[in-house]
Amino acid sequence: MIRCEALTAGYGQKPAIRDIAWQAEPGSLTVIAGPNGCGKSTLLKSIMGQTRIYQGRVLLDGRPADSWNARERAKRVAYVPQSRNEVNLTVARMVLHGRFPYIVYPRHYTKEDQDMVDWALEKMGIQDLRHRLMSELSGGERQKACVAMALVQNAPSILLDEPTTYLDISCQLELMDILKQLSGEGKAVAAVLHDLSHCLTFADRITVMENGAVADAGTPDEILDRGILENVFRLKIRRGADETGKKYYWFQRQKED
Amino acid sequence: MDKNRGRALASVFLLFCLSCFLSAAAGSVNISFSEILAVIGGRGQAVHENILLRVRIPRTAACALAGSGLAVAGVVIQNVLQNPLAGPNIIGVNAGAGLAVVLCGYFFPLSYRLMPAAAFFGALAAVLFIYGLAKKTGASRVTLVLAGVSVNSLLNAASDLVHTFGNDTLTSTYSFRLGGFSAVSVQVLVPAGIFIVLCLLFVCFLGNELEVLGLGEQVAMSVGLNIRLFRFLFLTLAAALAGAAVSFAGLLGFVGLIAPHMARRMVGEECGYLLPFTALFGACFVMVCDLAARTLWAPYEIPTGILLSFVGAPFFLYLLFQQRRRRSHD
Repeated sequence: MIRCEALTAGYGQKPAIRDIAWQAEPGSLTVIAGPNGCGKSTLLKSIMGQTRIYQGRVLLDGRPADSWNARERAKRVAYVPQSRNEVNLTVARMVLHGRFPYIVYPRHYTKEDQDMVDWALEKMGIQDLRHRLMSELSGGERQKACVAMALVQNAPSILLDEPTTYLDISCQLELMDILKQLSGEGKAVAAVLHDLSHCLTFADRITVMENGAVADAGTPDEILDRGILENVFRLKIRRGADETGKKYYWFQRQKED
Repeated sequence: MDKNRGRALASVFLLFCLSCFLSAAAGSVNISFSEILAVIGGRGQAVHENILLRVRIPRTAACALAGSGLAVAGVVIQNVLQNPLAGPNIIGVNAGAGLAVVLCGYFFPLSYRLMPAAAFFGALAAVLFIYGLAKKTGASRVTLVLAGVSVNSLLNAASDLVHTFGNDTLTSTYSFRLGGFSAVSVQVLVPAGIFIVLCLLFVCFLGNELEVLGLGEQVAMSVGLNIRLFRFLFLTLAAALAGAAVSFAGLLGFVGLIAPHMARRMVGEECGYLLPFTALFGACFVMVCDLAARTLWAPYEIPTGILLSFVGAPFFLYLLFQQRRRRSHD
């Protein structure tokens, strides 16, 4: 479980997020939404120890995150960043590096590590890509490989920064289903998303951020009822339901007075 | 995939053996394979024994050690700086080592044992400076290369200045700027060679860490790599490799750029294949260039560094344009 208490963090001299109280609970998909530059990615990076923390703290499994060493932290939380280097490694090899926190003397990956890779590739439906180079994959395939790498870390929490960016709608929905499935298996999954429709459809809880602070948090229905998304994004959001009761949403830009 | 890479590795090993043989056999006096075996077995003619043991074998070993050291230094620097254009000669690492060697020669003439250490510290200072610059300014790949070029020029100018005011000892090492093996001495080669072999083994031992570092800072941190520690460690190893090579081979250019690129093309980025392939290819490349430099225009011998620059500079331009083309496609 991840918990941020009064967290103020950023880069250089200036905090990018202020006084954040936030948590990702096991068995739940938490989505962080907000306009560009509001501090969503900074929040994830702060949890991963990749920013400067000015005040407050991050707790991983009840202990301050900085009290875990880098490998122990990696065993507790996996992270899929927004962008990554284009590498000329095979999919299987890159995914195998997700087992890096578990590597011990004589510093070779074991049969157990290879089995974990097989499992993760199968779970993501990309077994047939195992020998392909990462640089040869489509955006969707690459993103699945990155999630597979996070899966083999076997961490109880997974953070994803804009995992659906650059993916076509079919890939986006497939990925969201996978995240939902992972949370259903008991993992604490948190993702930064820009697509409000995905946020409202798939999230168990939504955290809305604005200007480096948490503007509101709650279930999708609570967030919609309070109108916070409409205020933050200057939108009108309408919701409907099809004959099976499945909800859908549409969005309209608020006109300036 | 693994089979292909295995074959590529076996091929480059055969090429390495062939290059070693040619480098030892060919020259102003050609020595046959059977004669080389006879000398190794202690039954060769005295004249051939003298040529092989005093000149050819030390020179072949120097080429192989310098080539593999500079090539692997190139892989390491490119992975740490995340910049495929960052060869040790381009960003000033070799020039840093060169300046330190020249200063060492100026202040402590004839102290050969100090030269590898001086070259190491010179290379380390240059690579840390460039790394600090990249980190502080967030410079793009091309900007970093341009910054490296200016650092390179500055360090070379400083070397020239020391030469200008230097004594006769320095004049004898002036060919050092061009890079070559005609004046390689066993006294300098042995400590530097041991240093290079140890560093190569250590880099290979840390292959997983180097590969993870190549995935990018955020990914490396997220899987638990202590990136500050390993960046510093790898840059230190790269400086040690480049510095030790420069201490006896002079400022050889482009090996650390060409060999890693060829290796990546042949075997990909998995360090278990990439590092041995790069080391062997770098060794072959330098041995073949050295062989060409001393045989093509016989009885004249041109410094190996000149030939390497004739091959390396167009290759660098090709990479530069390829980068630009890739960026414009993105």
